[in-house]
Amino acid sequence: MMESVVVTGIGLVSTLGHSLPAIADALRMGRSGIIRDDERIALGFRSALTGRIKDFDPAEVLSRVERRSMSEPALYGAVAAIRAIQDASLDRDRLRNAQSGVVIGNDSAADASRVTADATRSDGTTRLLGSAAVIHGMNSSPSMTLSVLFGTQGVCWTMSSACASGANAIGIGGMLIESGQQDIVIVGAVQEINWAGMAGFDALGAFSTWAGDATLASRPFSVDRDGLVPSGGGAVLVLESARHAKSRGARIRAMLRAYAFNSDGNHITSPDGNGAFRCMSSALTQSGLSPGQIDYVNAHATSTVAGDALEAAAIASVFGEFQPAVSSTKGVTGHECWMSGASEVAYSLLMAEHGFIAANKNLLEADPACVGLDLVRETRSVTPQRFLSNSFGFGGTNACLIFEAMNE
Amino acid sequence: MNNDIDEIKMQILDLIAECFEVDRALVVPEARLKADLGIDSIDGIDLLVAIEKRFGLRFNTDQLSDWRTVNDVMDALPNGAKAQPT
Repeated sequence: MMESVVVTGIGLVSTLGHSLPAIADALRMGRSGIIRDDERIALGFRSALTGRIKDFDPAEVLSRVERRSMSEPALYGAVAAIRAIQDASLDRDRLRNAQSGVVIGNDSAADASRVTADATRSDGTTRLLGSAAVIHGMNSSPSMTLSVLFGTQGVCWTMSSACASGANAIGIGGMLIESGQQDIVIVGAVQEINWAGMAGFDALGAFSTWAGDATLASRPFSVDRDGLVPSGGGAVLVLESARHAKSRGARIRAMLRAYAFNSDGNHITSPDGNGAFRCMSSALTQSGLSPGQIDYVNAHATSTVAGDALEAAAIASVFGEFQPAVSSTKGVTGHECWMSGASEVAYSLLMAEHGFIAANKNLLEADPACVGLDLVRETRSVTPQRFLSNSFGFGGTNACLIFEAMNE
Repeated sequence: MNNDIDEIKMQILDLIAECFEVDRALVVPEARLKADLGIDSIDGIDLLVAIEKRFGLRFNTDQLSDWRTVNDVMDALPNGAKAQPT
């Protein structure tokens, strides 16, 4: 018998804030976490725009020994996970067994690699790199340090699939629970936010070069959008089998209704739209829901010219005459890349908890490619009970998740 | 010369407290690295690196596994070590 998979905890380290109520309020009010970083101008970046995590002090919840092997993204993940476990009222002792594990999405260790290379060249030796360089430089650092932190003895994997990493981490964690191989999986994703992690993207010309107010730069679905704004942080969910959650009397926030994945198999950076269409359709079929039963689509829309238009057309085709409300929270967060598939599920769950759907920030005139879509222009006082979250990454890797919010 | 060695030793005590977030009052020559200060074998590598960077010298890394107390660290200081301006 397949197990039902539920969400019992949410933890975030976000450009929108640290506490769940503060983040929900930022989403409702459309408060942006985007700034302009002067260091990037000095380094010759085309775009100095970036999300910023304010007032982040991991020493508040992690000891020196716990922190020493954690790189920047691992710290985001660990603090988010501690918050998620608190939100789930989950005693850490319940994680110290082989039925508990971690699956974290991450696809870079750029700054750690930069630091190691810079130090080796300047010192003329590797002997001054210290003990942490090897762990910091591994893509799996966030998941392995989390497993050590909580003492989980089950799965310990890293999902690397570009900007679908977070969604796939949730989906794979859900599959392991559904099949009975795990009772509880700490899932989510992280994204380093430093310049080294973003230099290559900047070189591609992928970023917005908006010259005015930085909070107006990320403009998903807008006719005048000119590229994405990089961002990051950490987003973690506690996934459990419904049986396990009920046995410990946990509050159930939502049920995972579907996880679909596929690839375009087409181009290394340009999406083709067909993969997105097939992935959303597959998720809907799997969920057993009809298009009219989806209240909200949290779009991947990153504010790039090609990507937003293709996703808009795919959503319009999938839902036909039953168009759900559509918004991209990237208008306020920027593109949280590897983390976005996890954080945007968390943001949507917060909307469901607080009874609203966040607007598309900075959307004045929609791209004509969005014809037929119900784009949210002002925050709506509607509960997105059943929602679809899209994630489409470089390499044409796609993932769609459908959740049904609950409050049991 | 003795004054210089005493100054180096004081600076190492300060360095240990700073690097490993230990109460400076606990960092005395007799203190045991693991039992009293929570400095384990992985920290030992970082302690060696921190001292080498601060004082611009090189330890014989074979000695690392013999470090049990703060005194062992100071006894392992290579000849020619000089106190650094603070």
